[in-house]
Amino acid sequence: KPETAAVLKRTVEALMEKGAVVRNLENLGERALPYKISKHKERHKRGGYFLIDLEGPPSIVSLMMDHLGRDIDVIRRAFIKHPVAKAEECSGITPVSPEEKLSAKKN
Amino acid sequence: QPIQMENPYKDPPKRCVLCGINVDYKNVQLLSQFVSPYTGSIYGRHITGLCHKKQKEITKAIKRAHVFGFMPVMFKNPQFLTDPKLCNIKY
Repeated sequence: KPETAAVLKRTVEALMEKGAVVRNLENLGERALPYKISKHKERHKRGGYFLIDLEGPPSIVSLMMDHLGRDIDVIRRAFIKHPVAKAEECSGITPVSPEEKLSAKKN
Repeated sequence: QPIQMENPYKDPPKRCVLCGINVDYKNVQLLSQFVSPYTGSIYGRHITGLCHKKQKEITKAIKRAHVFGFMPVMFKNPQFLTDPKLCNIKY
């Protein structure tokens, strides 16, 4: 457990150094991975999942992917855009008239 | 003289199963309900019965979960095998 704390501290410090503002850090628990992952000459079966909310310039992404790729304790790294919660105006299935279905192209 | 108005007896628009539910790559249980338990392949729209938007969101979330190591690829997580059936598929 002190190792995971050290890894998190390292990553957050690296992020702040590159000019990102860390908003939140969530621990999604430690569980068995869905499939065995080989990384850095080792086959991993268990791992801890962490989610870091951050705001920063887009140039950070490639730098941090590089940085995390060199870290031995990090198995898999990823950056995603913050999901915009916009699912309230879902207005059901709109019925499609047969003419539209005919003219719609089939891919 | 008859008044011109919209059909008052119209049915409300048909909603799919996920209408109004936020789809996230993190809740593997929801995502696994649209995946085959034998091969782990994603079901098509004719099986799940979802609208275009939600089907797209689900596929993207499932592929993301595969890559990030949240959901198994070749099979369905045995923990979620006894979940209620949302897709009309006959094995």
